[in-house]
Amino acid sequence: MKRLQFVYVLLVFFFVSCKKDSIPPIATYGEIRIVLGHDVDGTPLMTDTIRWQNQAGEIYGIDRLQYYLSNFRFYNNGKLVHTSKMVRYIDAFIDSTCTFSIPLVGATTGPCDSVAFLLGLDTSQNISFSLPPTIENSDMGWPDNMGGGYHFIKLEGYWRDGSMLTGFALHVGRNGYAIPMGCRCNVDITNATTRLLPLSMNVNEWFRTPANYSFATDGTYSMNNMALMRKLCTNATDVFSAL
Amino acid sequence: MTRTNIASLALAILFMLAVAGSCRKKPAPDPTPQDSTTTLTPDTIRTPLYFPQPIIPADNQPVKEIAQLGRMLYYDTRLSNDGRSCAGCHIQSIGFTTHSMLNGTVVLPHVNMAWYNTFMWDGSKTGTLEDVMTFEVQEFFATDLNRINTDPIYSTLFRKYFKTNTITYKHLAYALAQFARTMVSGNSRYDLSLRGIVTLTPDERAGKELFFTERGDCFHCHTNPVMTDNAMHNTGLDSIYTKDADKGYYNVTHNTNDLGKFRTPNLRNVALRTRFMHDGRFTTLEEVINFYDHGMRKVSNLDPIMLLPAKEKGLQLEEWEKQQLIAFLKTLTDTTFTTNPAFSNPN
Repeated sequence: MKRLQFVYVLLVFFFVSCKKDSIPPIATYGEIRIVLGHDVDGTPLMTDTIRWQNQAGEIYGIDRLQYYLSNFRFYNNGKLVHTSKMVRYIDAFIDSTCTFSIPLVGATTGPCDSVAFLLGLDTSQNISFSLPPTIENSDMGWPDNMGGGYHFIKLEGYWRDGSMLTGFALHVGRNGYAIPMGCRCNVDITNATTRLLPLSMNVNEWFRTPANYSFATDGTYSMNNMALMRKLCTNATDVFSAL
Repeated sequence: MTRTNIASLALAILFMLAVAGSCRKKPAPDPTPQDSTTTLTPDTIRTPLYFPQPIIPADNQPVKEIAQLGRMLYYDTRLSNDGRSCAGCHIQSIGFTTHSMLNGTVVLPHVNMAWYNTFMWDGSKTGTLEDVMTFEVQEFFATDLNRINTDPIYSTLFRKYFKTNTITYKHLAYALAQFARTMVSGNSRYDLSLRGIVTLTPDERAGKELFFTERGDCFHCHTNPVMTDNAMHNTGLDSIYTKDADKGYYNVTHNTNDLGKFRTPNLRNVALRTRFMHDGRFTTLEEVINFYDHGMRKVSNLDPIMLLPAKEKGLQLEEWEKQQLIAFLKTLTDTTFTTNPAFSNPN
């Protein structure tokens, strides 16, 4: 009888050890899928055209709009519901970079009425070579000779300067210049569910409120010009809105 | 032991065997009938830690033997029908370029291409190394596939490594791409200084400061550490485009905003070159720097990065600053790259 018991134990062992190919565990957490759009006062942003007008009355076009979003925080009635340290590289003219998901691991389920995030990186992340070694992150590097870390945004294009077209390169980086963003939203956090959060950047908001930015009078090159970077940062806090 | 117990035991053992038999992973792929003994050695692209991840398509992961096969092809004049090989215009000792011109155009160096997604001065080729190598064998060289297929060594090797009896342009391109991807330059004096192995001289350090700050503002296009941003820029070489070759990216897009735009050349081993810009109009680094110092033409699509405040006419460097910049550019010379036996002619 003991021998028989041994056989049954062996059988049980066989059943337990006989696993099929490993199946990834089903995610039980939800996620918020952010879909970014870019517009100029409601008109979808396009490259290769000089057609937009800023508050200073200048006609301009955008050829490059690359930036980082990071440090997402979701709130309900002012109470923090979820945070994510995710850093996301965005190229406004490459669609695949403009949609991404924030996993809600450990998040409290329930409604969210506002989202906050940084355009740029906080000081703990803004360290040269600290982001994953992708070509995009490499191209966004802010030289160590100028403080290190990464460009937070590269906003480049051309504007009509009299009869001429002239380029502008508005770059922002360095610790202390990450731009806190926030907007109202309406998403429910639920387990194992993907919720969409469409956000849009209105490029013209970089050039107005609280102060108009003029290429002619303020300048066309901001990198390491602390006053210009600060002016752009101050204007930009409301460039995003939830759709 | 009772008869019942014996029967139960037998039943249990049979059941176990059945379970054991059914408990299998997916069947292994059939070994190739041609060369069941061939083993391929997975490889990695060796780069300094501060380099980004190279671009490697999922269907052409690095394999030592295939890279070696690509190396053979790279040096083989039979790839063309007129005695040319890749290496004929991409000479290792000068950083895989040549001092000669090719159809009036400077030959771009083959270096750090593992990070490229655009190719050619005018950006006319995009995608992966596999894509551009397909162009090279299929169109540029118009390789005679029959010649390659009837070569006993190639037919054996491709059969072993690609499990094919018929070598196609894709096979050639994939092998060439594997070799090209290994051609990494990351041991220059500059790299060694980044790794704390050597200390740059005061002039080299000053040149680096110029390179990586707005004073010289080279870094925006010659991005660290690959030394190209893969992008097209108009740097003010011309204001009138009489020759098609000077129109650059316009020849691809036919968009006037792209007139005079060219792909940022890689500066790795730049001091070994004697031809600069797409048409080789400059023959020394001094001439190149003088151009950026005071020779740029103001055109409507001049790259925005070129318009530094108060430097609309150029960098306006002091003479000693130019020499410092050149001293730094010379630190990008990587003799371990230009003499590496792994990249040399295997024949």
